[in-house]
Amino acid sequence: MGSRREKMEMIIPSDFKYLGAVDAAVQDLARELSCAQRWINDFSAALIEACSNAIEHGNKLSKNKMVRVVVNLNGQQIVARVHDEGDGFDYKKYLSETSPPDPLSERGRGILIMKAFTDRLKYSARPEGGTCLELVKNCDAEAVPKAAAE
Amino acid sequence: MKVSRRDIDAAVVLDVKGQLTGGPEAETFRDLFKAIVDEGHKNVIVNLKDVDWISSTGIGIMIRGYKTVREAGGHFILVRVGERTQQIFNVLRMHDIFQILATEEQAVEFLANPAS
Repeated sequence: MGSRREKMEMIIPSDFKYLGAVDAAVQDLARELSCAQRWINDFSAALIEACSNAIEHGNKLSKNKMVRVVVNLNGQQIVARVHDEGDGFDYKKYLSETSPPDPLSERGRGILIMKAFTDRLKYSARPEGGTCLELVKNCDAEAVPKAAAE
Repeated sequence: MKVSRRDIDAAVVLDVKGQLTGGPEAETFRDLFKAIVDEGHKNVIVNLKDVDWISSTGIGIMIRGYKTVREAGGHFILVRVGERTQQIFNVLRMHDIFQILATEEQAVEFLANPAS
């Protein structure tokens, strides 16, 4: 991967059917830098959850509101920012959830997936309205097979 | 996401294809379990071979299926779980809840003699 950098930006409607396009774009980006499949799958799982939240909890599934996804990948880390256009929500409470939900609960696992597959999560309110979630995953030995990194 | 249904002697088999997440198809899928149980079927096998990935919403659908089938006294079995889905299941310890078997044949074998 070395010092190469790749950037991707997408704007998707608030509809779950576009999550596959986000996954495909991140997979392509990672392929360009020869990232290990498992490593990028982990990150993509977290990004899919972030986009799902933006669609459902941020934009409340409004077809008039969009989700903007910006991903930067370099030799040190992959960083994604997911912006929604909603009215905001109590993300501090959301982020503070650390324990698994009731085993038979049908909801409440998105934050656990994001935390498990990233090194850092940060929510912030956008001055122009909406919320931005930043996800960061550091490149470790698993990120890039040795042969590809050389 | 697409869900195809096959009725075999031991169970209703649901073959899921695509991305197991939210949306209109997910709502239909969520309701399908109750419809199956209401028809008098007890056991459901969900084949995840062609699932690209699963989100937390998709996990919620599976839990709905599990609860619906178990409350009706049947068995809910997941088979042919792919690598990406497995990674999510591992993180969330879904193996503690779901019965997961390698193949549909193994599921049928289990249903023939579940107590052994």
